[in-house]
Amino acid sequence: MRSFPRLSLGFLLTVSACAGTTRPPQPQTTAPVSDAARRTDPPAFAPLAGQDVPVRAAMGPGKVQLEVRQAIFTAAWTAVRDKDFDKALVDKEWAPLRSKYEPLAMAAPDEATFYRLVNEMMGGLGQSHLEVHGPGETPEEDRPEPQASSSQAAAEVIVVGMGTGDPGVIVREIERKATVFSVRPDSSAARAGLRPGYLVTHIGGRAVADLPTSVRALRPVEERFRLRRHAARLLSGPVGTKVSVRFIDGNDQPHETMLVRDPADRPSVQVLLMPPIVPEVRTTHAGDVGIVAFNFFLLQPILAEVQKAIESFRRSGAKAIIFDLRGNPGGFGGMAIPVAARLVSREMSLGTIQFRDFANTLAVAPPLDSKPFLGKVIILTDEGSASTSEILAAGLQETKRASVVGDNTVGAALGSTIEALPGGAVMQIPVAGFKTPQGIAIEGRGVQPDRRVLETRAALLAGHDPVLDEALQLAHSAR
Amino acid sequence: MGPMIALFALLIAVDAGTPVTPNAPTATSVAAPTLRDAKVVLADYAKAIGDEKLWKKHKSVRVKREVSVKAMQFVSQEETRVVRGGKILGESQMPGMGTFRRGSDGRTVWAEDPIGGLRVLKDAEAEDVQLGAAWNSEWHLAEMYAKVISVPPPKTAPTGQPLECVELHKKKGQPTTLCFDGSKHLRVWEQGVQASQGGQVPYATRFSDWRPVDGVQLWHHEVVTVGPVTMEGQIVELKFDEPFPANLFALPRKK
Repeated sequence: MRSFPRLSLGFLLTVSACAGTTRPPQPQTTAPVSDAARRTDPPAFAPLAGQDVPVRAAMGPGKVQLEVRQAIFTAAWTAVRDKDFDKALVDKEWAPLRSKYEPLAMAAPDEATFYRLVNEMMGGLGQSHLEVHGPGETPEEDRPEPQASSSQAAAEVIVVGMGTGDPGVIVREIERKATVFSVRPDSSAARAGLRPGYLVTHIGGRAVADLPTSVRALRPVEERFRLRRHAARLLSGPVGTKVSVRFIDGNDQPHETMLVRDPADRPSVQVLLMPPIVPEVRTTHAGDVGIVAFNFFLLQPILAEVQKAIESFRRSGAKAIIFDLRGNPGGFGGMAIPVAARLVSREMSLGTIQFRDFANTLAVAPPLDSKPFLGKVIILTDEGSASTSEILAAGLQETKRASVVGDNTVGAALGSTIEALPGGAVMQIPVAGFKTPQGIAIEGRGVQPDRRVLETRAALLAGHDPVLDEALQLAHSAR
Repeated sequence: MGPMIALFALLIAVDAGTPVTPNAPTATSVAAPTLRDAKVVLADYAKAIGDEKLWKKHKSVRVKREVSVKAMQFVSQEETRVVRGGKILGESQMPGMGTFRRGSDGRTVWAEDPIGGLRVLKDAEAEDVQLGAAWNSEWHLAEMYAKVISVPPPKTAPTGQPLECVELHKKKGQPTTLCFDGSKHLRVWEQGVQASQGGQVPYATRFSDWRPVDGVQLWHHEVVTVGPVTMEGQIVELKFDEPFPANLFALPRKK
């Protein structure tokens, strides 16, 4: 009996959750999934709990801190050197970037600055899915609200429970302004009267539009992606804490309210080194059109629920299925395969993932134990659709199996692994590129919808979802 | 997309020599000065692992293994059952991902997992499973493959000890290179390309922790590298001749 290599583990452990395409990178964006329960996404990964946190030096790093930093820096740099899929790029750029950033990072006055500099170095490669987080890092958004910005906010921040919560509102850039895209029913935001279409100017006392400086020019879709993520991070925090929100209502009247970060209404799951994720799959019907939205590509428990939804739509005779991937930042790259497999009658490919030394096709075949849905398929996207969402959308679009409706996706489609570093730090490394069956790289480009439809403030205020409306029209035209 | 089931690692040796240290300090690679005939190398290996009769007295084996990817703080459990006659079932329980299975009842080779669903395997994919299911394969490597030839140690093979390497040519899949300790003749290194639903997957494996199991030598530890991921497998339980349900290895019925 021969040894039997675990051939697929490399791919299986590849996570295509977009952690960010901008710099300085920060944990990922929000994932609005449908018209109702939109839950703030957790970051793609987070520092390890229970690790020693280096004491922050008031005047500069101490000896222990320096040792920890050096270990983190070296491990992170080495991991990229050895594992990043783009060896030619790494061979050319990586050593000079180390020369530039290592002395700066080691001399950083605090850990936040250290991580910012390490991530700036990472950003020098211009890849998504490449960043480091660790103990002692305190992103700007995580700091307590400044006292001066809100009379009540800082004083009322109290931790009443474990875990991360949010007040139930998704903020996106719509018509160049930070706008409420959705409000979760019965959430703190709903109780406070926030409605889709309201403009949001400040969260936690900070101007929403005041984003951290990016060291490279960003594409417009990246800017929108970044604002969405920035707002989500400002809104999220320990369950039970409060966050102030200044907004402008539908009559252009300014308001300020205090929202409570609600707990998730279902258990979270944790896989690999990703932080707990609250899985969410929502299915609805619009006549004979099925709609399914999910907030993350997880093999458990989301895949089974999505498959169940597809099967339910098939059995009920639905003419079309709309997959709402707006705000879905990705997840396990492999999950694109079984979702697509339920939608095809013959073998096909979603594209190719290219590791440093070998490539694999994302081969899709209808499984033996189920019947595929063969009606029309429409995928909704926006600037928050990333990674595995893009892989699924691009593959099905290119093979003419699906139409894509909505906005351009962010263009962050790489396979990555998430690994532990010394000192409790955690790193995401892009270990595989992705190209569509026709050889088109989605990284840095995004998926271009067949029908580009953008939400407008007026439509949101009127209670409409123009993207979904367009998709429904397309679905009905298929008859 | 096949499962990442590590069937097992069966290795045996008459002489319970010092286990190979998987991460021993390396030095310069020392290849045998001249390449011995591949069949002779494989015959020495067969002798080193023990008397085939000791193995043949059994009818089945079940091996539990813990597989970890330390960099990701990931641990999974896998269990493989093999019955004489080419029956095999490997199952991996992957936390947060589900169960990955591969099996054969001696006729139909199949796989079932959350990604590829239920599939009947063919060609090189099936061949790999069938090779893993062969009951006395370790004693008959020369006969199981279409061709075996001696080759110098690959550059990627461990250094610091003389190695004798043999290239095993499958009937359908790409060749596998097996390297043996030049003095103890135990398996040290394997590299090859395994077929999967998505294409060819190169891998390399280092074997160590040899222990006698009912008279034959078996490696209990292996380090497998697949692209950017390095995983370790450790046998935690091995039982012979347990009764298995008759349909355990058959293609699962459609749901």
